[in-house]
This record gives sequence, C-alpha cells and structure tokens, in this order.
Amino acid sequence: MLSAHVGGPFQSVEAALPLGLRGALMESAGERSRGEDNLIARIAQADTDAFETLYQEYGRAVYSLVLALLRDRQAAQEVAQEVFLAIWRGARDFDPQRGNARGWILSLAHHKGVDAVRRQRVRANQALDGAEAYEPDFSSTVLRKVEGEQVRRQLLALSHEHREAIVLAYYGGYTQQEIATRLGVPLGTVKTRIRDGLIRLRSLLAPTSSETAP
Amino acid sequence: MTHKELQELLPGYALNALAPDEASVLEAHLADCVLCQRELAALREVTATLAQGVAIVEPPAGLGARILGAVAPARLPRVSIPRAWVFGGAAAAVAIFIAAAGVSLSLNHRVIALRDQVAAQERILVLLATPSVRSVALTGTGQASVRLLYAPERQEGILVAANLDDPGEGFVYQLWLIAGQEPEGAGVFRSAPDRRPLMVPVAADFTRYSVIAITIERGPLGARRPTTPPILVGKLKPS
Repeated sequence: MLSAHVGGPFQSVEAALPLGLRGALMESAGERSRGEDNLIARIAQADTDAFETLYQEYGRAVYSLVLALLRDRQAAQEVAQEVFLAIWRGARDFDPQRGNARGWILSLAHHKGVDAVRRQRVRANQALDGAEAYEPDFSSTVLRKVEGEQVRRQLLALSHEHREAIVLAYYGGYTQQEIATRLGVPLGTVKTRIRDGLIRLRSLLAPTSSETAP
Repeated sequence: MTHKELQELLPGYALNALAPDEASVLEAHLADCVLCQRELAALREVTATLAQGVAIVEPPAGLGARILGAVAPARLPRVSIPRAWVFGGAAAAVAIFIAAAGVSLSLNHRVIALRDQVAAQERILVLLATPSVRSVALTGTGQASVRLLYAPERQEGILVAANLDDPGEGFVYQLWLIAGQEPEGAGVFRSAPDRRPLMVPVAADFTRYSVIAITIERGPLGARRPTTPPILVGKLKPS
C-alpha cells in the first residue's frame, strides 16, 4: 500500500516513508524476537511444525556460517544438520533470560562450526606439518571471509589489534591460546584485545540494538 | 576461580575461543550466576552480528528435508483413495493437482475423480483376488501404516498408506525400488487432507527388486536419486 503512493501525488507521504517503514521494522524486530523465543518453546514440546518454521528462518544463516568456517559444502551440510538436531534436543534448556533465540542459535552454529574446523585442522596439520604457520598475514586471509558490507565496516572501525584478535577467533576458529602463539604475544594480551574489541564493537552496534529493543 | 576471573572468560566464551577446560568451568558457573548470564546474552548479540558478515549461501535443497526427516518420524502423509492416483492417467493427475491446490473441483472433474476412485478400488479388489498376491509392510519412522500389495506375475502393485503426515510444503513422497545398490525412482505422491488413506499404483517387474523404500524429496518431481534417508522401508520377498 505504501508503494502505491511513491511517485504519486502524495509527495509528503513519500517523504515520511523511511521513518514509517523504520517504525514498522523496529516493531517487527521486537515481535520477531519474542516469536522466535516462543518457537523454541514449542520445539521443546516436540512440535515439528515449529521446527520446520525455525529451519525456514535460520537454515540459510546457519548453513552459510558453517560453510564460511569450513569451506566444504559436504562438511557444512553435516554440521548444519548437527546444529539443528542440537536445537531440537536442546530446546528444553533454552532460557530466554540468557539471551534471545537468535543469539543462542547462531552461537550454537558457530560453536559446532568451530569444533569441526578444529577437527579439520588437526587432520590437515598432521598432513601438512604446520605449513599454515608460514602464511605471512593469516588474519587478512581470514578477514576475506567477511563479505557482509556492514559487518566489514564495523570491523574496520576497530583498531588493527582488536580486529585481528576477533576475526581470528570468530571467523578463523582459533582459540585465544592459538592466537597468542601465532601472533607471538602473551595470552593475557589476546584476552584483553578480544574483550575490548567486543566492547567497542558493541558500542558501534548500540544505536541499532536500542532501536530494536522492545 | 573468583567471579571476576570467570567473568573475564566471557568474551572468549562468546567467541568459542576458550580452551575446553576453561569453557567447562565457566559453564558450571553460568548455571547459577545471573550477572554472567546477562553479560553473555549481551556478548552474543555482538557475535550474532558477526554471523551476518559471512557470504549468504542457499543450503542444498535436500538439507531441510533430511533435518526434518531426522527429527520428525511422525510426519508422514495421508491421502484419500482417489486423489492419490498419481500414475492413474491425466484425469487423475488433474484431480490431484486441483485437490492439492485447494480449489474445488468442477462437477465434470468430480465425476472423473469418482470414476477413477472406483476404478482404483476395483484394481485393489482384482489384485487381492489374485492367488499370488503378496503383501509387504513398510516400516520405519512415524505412525503411518503403509503396505505394498503386489502380484509379481502381473507386474503390478498398489501401495496403500493410512495416517500419513503431510511431507511439508514443497515436498513430496518418493517411492524407490532397489535392486542391489541402485535405487530406481518409482514415482512421487502427496498426502491427502486429514490423513485419509491413500493408494499409489506401482507398475514394475517386482522380481527384479529386493527393497521398496520411501523418502521425502523436493516436489513436485522428486529427485533422481534419494537425497534423504528413507522414512519407510519394506523388503520384497524373493519369488
């Protein structure tokens, strides 16, 4: 209905459109979050329709995330399946007080993806005898996995050290200890960089998250 | 570890970057520390945003069906007797299509559908009256009762299913006959409304095959080869 006015005689409506649309999006984000929490509650009751809806909502995001981590379509399918089965079995333990469904699902997907990457890496390192360690700038290699324009922009707003630590941990699947070893800095330094980097990232996201708060 | 030390592990935990022993210590603490739970929730909002940074790739078509099939053994379909006529000719195909689309049938189509229904039932009776008729139960996940009736020398059979779940929007059931390692597609069918019983004619030289199986595949045509584990399997008796 809104689009019917665009370009029509109601120029004032058109001018007001972004704001109105934004209001609608804000509302739907809050509702969606509650709706998804409710979906998990239904899945906990073994509601397969709710599970199917959840797959429709998150199948693509989960698959894309594990694929970016693993770079192997077959392995990504297996891990994505593992993630959804973990959601199915773990829905009972989901507690909305500890964060929303979206955060839980994507964290679970990341966790399973990272576990698989580490298994992959153990096998590869046995074969390659640590050839990866000779890569000159492996954090920029990992950064290539970040294709989302907005996320890339936010990451680029961080200092090099913060970005490097977060990118290696999240997209590279390295533990804090591995990052410390590879960068040749103390473990405590990596921990601090990760903590400060995430806090900074959160403040960069803050305008968005306060808008979408119910 | 003190609360403060444990709290300092949270950012690494949110990135799944802790050593396994650190992670399990923190998890134990998280179970009853509301402060840390809240902080983790906030950190996960940030990491969920990082998840949006990856290239979006459409998952393969079979993945959803496989995942749903793994958890939902109870999701099998149901079809009323005439409407399930998948191989029964063009008129029946039209009837199924219209029924599936939820459009009411014209009177002419109703007559054709009823005629096909009677013909199908007669075919079952003829098959049951055949001395050599065999009956194989398909077993697996779910509450559906599914059985293949077939007469090897007539090379015809009918799959009868009751209480079969809807396979999900965009998905169909696909029948497979398996000789050795090679499954051969033997047609697709949908469930009927209200879990009503359904019949699917199957024409094949049954002596060639040892197994009949049903998988859920993407509709409307199904797959060339099974892309999901079978939900129901039956063993054909050697003749």
